[in-house]
Amino acid sequence: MDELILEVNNLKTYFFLASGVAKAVDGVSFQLHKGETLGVVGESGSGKSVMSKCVIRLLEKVGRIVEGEIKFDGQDVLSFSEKELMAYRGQDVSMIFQDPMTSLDPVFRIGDQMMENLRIHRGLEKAEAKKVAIEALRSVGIPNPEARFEAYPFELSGGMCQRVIIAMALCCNARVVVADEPTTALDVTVQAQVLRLLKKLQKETGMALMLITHNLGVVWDMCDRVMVMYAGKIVETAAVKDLYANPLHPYTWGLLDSMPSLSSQRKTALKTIAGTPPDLRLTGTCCNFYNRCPYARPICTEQVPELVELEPGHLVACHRQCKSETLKRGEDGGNG
Amino acid sequence: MEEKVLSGSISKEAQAAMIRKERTANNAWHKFCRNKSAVVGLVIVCLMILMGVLAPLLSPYDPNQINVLETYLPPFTGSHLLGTDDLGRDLLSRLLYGAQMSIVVAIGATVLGGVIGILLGLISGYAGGVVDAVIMRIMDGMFAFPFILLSILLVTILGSGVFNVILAIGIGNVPRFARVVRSKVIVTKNEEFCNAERILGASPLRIMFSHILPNTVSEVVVYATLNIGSAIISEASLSFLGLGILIPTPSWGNILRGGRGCLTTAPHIAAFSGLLIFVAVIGFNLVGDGIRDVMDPKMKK
Amino acid sequence: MQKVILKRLLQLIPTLLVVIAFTFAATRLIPGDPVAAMLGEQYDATKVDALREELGLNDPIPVQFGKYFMDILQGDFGESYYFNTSAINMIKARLPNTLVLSVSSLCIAIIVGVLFGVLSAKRQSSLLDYVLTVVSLFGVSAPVFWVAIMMVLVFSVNLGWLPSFGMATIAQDGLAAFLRHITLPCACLAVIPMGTFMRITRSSMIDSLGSDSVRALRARGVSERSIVWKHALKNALPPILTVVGMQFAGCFAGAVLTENIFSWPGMGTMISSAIDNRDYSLIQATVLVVALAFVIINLITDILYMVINPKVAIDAENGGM
Repeated sequence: MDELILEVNNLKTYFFLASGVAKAVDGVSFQLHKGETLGVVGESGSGKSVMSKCVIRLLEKVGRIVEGEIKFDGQDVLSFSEKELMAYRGQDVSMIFQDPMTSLDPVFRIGDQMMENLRIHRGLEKAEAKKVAIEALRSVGIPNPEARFEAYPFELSGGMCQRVIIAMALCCNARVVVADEPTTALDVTVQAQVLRLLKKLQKETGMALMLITHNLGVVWDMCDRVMVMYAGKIVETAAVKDLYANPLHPYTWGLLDSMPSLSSQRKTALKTIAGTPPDLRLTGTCCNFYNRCPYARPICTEQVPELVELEPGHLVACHRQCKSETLKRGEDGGNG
Repeated sequence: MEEKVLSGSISKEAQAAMIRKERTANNAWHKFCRNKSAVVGLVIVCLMILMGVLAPLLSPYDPNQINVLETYLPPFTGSHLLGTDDLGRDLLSRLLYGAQMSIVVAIGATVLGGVIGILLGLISGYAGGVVDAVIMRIMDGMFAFPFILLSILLVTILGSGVFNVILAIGIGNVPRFARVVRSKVIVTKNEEFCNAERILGASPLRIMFSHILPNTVSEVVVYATLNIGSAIISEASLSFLGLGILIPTPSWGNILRGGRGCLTTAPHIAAFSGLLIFVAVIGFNLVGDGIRDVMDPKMKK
Repeated sequence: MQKVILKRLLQLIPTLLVVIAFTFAATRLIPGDPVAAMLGEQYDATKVDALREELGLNDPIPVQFGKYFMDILQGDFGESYYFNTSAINMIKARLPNTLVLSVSSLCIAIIVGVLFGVLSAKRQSSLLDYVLTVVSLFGVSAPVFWVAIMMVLVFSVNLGWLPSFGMATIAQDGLAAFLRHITLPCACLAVIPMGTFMRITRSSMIDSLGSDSVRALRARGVSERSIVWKHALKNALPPILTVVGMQFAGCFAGAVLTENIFSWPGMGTMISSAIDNRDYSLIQATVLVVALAFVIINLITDILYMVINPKVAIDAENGGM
């Protein structure tokens, strides 16, 4: 891996609600290098979206980063002024949201929005900006970019809008792209196209990509490294091929089991993970997964498991996976 | 801190407490009470209604008792708390009886306009097609008249008097109610439970009144509350122009009209009567806004 | 877009018909003899008959309506009994004065209301927001005639700063006199629409500031100023525009009450003197003219709506509306 771009250390983001404090992100650390693709998986509410919003400092009002640091290129993102933030967002880190149709301002033409971005981040004049924007539209595979430049967002399909947004990130030379479920709102056929486009652009520009998804298949196709999140914590992180070859956390097993697969001629019904994720207002004193874990032991209700590196680059947070004890899948199936 | 405990094991009590807390938080009345401005509004509205209802008991004098020796007395002096008017009548007593009039007219007009408007909206929304088009075009046409002008037109023709004022303002309210109800009905009638009723063979009337109508309640209540406020202003405007409630019967509007004539000698008459109208309208607006926030925070005017 | 505008124009026809029918019905179908009402105390049989004949009240109702309708199409809105001139001429003479007053107060209300509404939404739940919310509540709840009287009391009677009645023209009396005379009525008339604009702008802006597209703009590093005043405001405009149409009519109606207090020689004073003189046909004509104006203003705001948000026009073309 080359040059480190983004570093997050022990990030804790809490939501202060009337009925208590929800620990949406509870001590997450990771690193992102140039040209790397990091996948973040987990079910809804696991804190992956909140974490991505922290990275570009766009939290809702009730949420606050209570601890930890975020470093971009060695600079402390959390101490950025409003002005520095503006330059950081969009230029250094670009965000791609789930629904492309609502990510563009509906009452301005696409060209105007792209040119506004170019003016802010690269200080381009109108004519120059237009040229760059049309070029960017062409490079993300939008047919007839001159005409699309004049279009309103609602005149484009979802896939096209997502391409426009990618083009915006591209023409500002973003070094990190955070994509929060970028294909969930799109048609299945378009999903693959958009992902392929992201991959291709990443190769060309060397940007780092953080891909948030709940689709393990996408992770397999796209990512170098993967981070599994559960209830605000990282439960396992590894290189993608290691994770698939040798998953260690019971939750990861559950995730892999619940993934439909076309290749294996499995006749059995798709497995699900029993139970529901814990209330985020009540986490933080034990293993968050213990009540759904078939391998749970008394210690799991007493101590928070630490993230330990069992193999090089492969970290897991489970009381039953450590240097002295290795749990095998299906072994002493516990109570499950 | 309760949330130290994990779900599932020891936390039953903590969870129960949390659920209780949340349920209380979601209870409509509690929500309303937490909204301070809504409570202020409710207090104002209650006070105003009390003023009107208890006017005969609270009034220190007969509101129509003329005393030529004590005209234009200033307020807060002597035996007349708020002073007297051009004929020496006690202003406080007149204002109390005026509250009665305002309430009767405002609520009467809102109920009248509401009932007709709800019926029309219900029929229009449920029937759709030609019936809907005809009713809504008529409503559009009526809606085109600035409210006060419509009332002026009606009162000039009907003549003054309590009932006619109620009628004039009430008719003016019809299109607003009809629109509010219609749009809700159109949404509701296509929902599953209505289709289910239809399949089960319920008559259109039954569906309309026992299934769709209850669904429009929140909109109607909010709208009606806000409407009472504007009906108070309408009545006062008409009376102020000399069209609504005619003297000697006291109403806030005609007291203000009287006060306008003696602005230099007795400014308190205009000041107090107008202030009461102002405060009463604020009260109803606050309550209406409060109810709207409770019913559905997303609902717009 | 032309198609949609055409469609709206066609929809206008039934509305106009209803408006005309309503003013017609108001005088003809309501119980009681309008002639008797018109003559009031001077009621006597011969006069009644003559007047009935003159008004065409002896014709069958549909014929009467037909006549009334044709007259209006030709620009004849009836005669004022009291002044013995055609109502439309009286209205024409008064209309500009009312327009000056209502347009200027509407402009002030829009500028102040939208500005404060945006500030309020921008700083949601701050002290400023709280104060502005109270101000807007006072604005929408204020009885315009009382505000007018209180302003006269304070600024004319007590302080003697501004004249309490009458109008001055720029041509004859100069700009200063014009401004001195228009200040009070204009300020009064602006109170209610200002409150309304503040409220609608605030809620609409809060919506658009909380929208996903604004979040995306922030993520792209667009400045907060540009987000608020350019993107969010343009997105928040449609409901504000709808209210502009309604408030224009509101200003017109408010003028009836305020002009009366400030003796501003517009349609409002005309209509109140018509009320005092029981000049029914003048009232009827005025109400009709105002209603027609209102319908047209609403049409204009609808069209503006489509210019601002082109999606509305597309939706309207594919059915809907």
